[in-house]
Amino acid sequence: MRAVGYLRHSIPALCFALIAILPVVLAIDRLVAVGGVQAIWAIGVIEDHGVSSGALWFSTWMALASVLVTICFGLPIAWHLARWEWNHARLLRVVLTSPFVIPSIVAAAGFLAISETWVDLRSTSERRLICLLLAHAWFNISLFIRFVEPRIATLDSRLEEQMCLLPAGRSHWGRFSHLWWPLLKPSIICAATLTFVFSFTSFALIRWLLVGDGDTIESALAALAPLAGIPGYMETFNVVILGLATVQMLILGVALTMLVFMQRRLEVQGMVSSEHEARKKPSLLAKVVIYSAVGFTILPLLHVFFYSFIARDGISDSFSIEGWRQVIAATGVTSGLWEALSSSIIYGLFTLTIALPLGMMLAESVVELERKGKYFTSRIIDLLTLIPLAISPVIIGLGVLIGLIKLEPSLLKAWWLPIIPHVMVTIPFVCRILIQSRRNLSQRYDETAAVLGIEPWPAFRKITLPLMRPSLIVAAGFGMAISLGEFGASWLVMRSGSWTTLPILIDDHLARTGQDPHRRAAAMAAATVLTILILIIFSIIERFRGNREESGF
Amino acid sequence: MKKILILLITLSTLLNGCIGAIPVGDEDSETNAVPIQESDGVLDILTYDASGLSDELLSDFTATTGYEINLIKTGDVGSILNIMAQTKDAPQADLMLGLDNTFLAQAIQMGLLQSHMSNHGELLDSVKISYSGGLATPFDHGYVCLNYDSAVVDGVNMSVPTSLWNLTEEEWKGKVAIPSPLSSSPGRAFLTATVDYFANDVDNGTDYTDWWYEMEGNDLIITSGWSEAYETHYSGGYGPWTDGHIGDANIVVSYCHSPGVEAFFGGNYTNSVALNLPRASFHQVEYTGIIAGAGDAQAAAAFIDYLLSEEVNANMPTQNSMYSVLKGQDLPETDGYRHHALIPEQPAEVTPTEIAEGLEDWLVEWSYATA
Repeated sequence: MRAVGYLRHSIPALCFALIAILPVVLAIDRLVAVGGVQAIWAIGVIEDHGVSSGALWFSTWMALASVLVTICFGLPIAWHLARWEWNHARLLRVVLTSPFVIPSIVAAAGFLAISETWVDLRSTSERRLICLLLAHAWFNISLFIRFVEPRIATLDSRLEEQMCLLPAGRSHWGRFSHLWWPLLKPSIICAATLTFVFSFTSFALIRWLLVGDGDTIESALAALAPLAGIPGYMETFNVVILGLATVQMLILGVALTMLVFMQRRLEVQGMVSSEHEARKKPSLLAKVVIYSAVGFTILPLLHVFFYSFIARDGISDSFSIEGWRQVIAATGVTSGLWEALSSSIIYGLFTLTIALPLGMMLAESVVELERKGKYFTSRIIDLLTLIPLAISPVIIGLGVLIGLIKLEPSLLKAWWLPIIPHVMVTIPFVCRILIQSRRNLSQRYDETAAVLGIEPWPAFRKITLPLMRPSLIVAAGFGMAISLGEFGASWLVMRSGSWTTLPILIDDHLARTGQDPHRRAAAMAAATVLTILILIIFSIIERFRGNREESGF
Repeated sequence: MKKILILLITLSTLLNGCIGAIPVGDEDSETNAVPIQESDGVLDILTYDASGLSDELLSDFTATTGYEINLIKTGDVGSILNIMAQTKDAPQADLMLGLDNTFLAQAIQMGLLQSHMSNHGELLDSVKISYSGGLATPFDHGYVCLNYDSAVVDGVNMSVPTSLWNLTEEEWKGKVAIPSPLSSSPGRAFLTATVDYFANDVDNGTDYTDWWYEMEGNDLIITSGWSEAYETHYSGGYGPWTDGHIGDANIVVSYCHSPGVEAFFGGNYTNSVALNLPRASFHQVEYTGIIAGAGDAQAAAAFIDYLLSEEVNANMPTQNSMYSVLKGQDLPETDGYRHHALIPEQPAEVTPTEIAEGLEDWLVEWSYATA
């Protein structure tokens, strides 16, 4: 019986490891073999080598600066969203949290357009850095809304009133340091940690917004990736790649370990909540904060839409629908819009057929082990599901190229090859949503089923699954959105026998060379379709979200 | 705390290649040992994104020969070599298209190509200098060199450089954009040219590393690819037509015939001029070749013949913005294409073997100089 239990937990964990971790282990192994140095020792090389010196430092402070800027934007937004009674609160949340799943290539195009129309964020390296930090904040504000806002919103207002009566709670600072900070600390740290992780591995934004101003670990890896894993060829650079990859994974690993422990603390702390409190109409300041945030969120997207109708001839702009015609007719590229759209959706659906059941099984394992008091094993599996977040798009790409393809060359022509990186980038999010939702499901259901003598599988099918339906829909929608927008890994993995997806089509149009007035419009048209698709999915899943769920996504 | 430590150790063990290294000795340097793959009836071409193969050209080939084509595209030229190396034991593609003379010797040394006799028009002598064996066939060529914006570098406000050392002067601070030789093939070609340039200049006390070091100190703009350097940073090209154009560089590494391409597409007008400095340009030849063990080698040979046929190869300047490799072909006169294109008097002289032997060191030295 005990063996069956172990098997039940270890099979999903093994499947997960096979899909999400094996390619990277193989790639690392190949780098070790070619470079002749163990991964840990390769770290020592990176600061001395010309190609990578400074990359660690730049990546770290850039990611930390991104966290600071995101906190400055995210906290006031989360606060005001939580403290007042907003009309169309759900819609506000959809809009404010949507950037998180918008493909970075669309965001980059949006920010470039803003820079051209409104404020110069381009002409100097300082301005470009500010643009990058703003773009990182734009992406990650949603983390603060998802993690921090529920904490503020569901606090029993009597607690705050009582606090006001105490000597320590008379001042704003006093209430902040004695009530809000202890209460919000874990969720702020969770949101900040994930912001750090995503900024640290940001790839497309660095490529388009910084244009060579500074090398991060990720951009150095992207430049070196073609030199990786060939025996007798560029061995020095193999050691550097190995060192960079190792240090990146270690830093992200530490950050994600911290995240898991912080989330545990969030659960222990629980909600001091009252869900339905009458709140006041928003103050003027709150309106200014929230409506500016909405403006900041939709501005890049509106620009993308607007520029899909603008022809650019080098001197002046004019209205034209030629961009839309070109993207549909596949002018200058190998795939048309509808073809790319259907490829994206098919890849997304296949990704979900792997990610959802696997995510569900892992969630079952984590929660079941937790309830049996096996916290350590449960934490390990929980952490395991986050590992793909510690693996950057370039490393995923390398995992496929010098890991999987080296192992099985015929994969090169398999149309389904991109599903592997898609599953890798999707599964941490799917797992987070499902684990959280499974945890929220009262243990009494399981206990009652056991008392009634219902076997685990029928109990799962008849009780757990229907109760988790809304979360499954949220996880499916979120996973679909992430898969639709996936760019970094697909860009590096060869577009071989595989089909062109929408993000790749956008890049293909942007990469057309020469004096073509419609290439930007064509790229923006594809980006508009992708954005609308993702926003529709997001609006649908928002209806299924439990009010103020704390999965973070 | 103990648990955190255990977790970290688990993680680092995972990263540390715990499953034992894959042996990499002779398996990858052996030649002639690649088994011939089964034909899948489709010609698989391994090429990079910007290789200029139009749909029209591909469907015309299929219509003429009956062979279906599947393109396996990579992000850059370096990845073509990488995929060929990773799939060496069971090659998936039949034809390689796009390795240039900075990569070719490596591919040949690794035994990744198989010889074939192609049946095409007579090749220019200049494209046979780099390589004239049967393992690869040139299909286009061009000279990589510096281009400057003559609207700014007009000889009055800014002087036209007469030596690469001029670019290390205050006047050029932050105004030179070069794609990284690590990730860009024009960048790699230009680095190779600088090695030759400084090895043969009058000053024996300095070499290319000194120049790159000085350039770095003069705020050299290094970009990951050619488009970021040419479209985003260079003021003299079609950059203003593209998103996110900055235009802060007045000189850039591109092709000596890029001003011709500018004029051709810009109604016989361009400000861009190629800089004619002895040994500061590199003759880049792009090759196609049948991959060792290819299952559809016959189709691959047919494609090479097709690509080298006069009616297809003569269109290289307009279709692919490169020169044709056939004798008797030249750039078109239309809209100043040929007029604005420069054929450098004395390109750098570096053989593919010298490149294969020296490149890793040059790249390492370069990365230190520009760190």
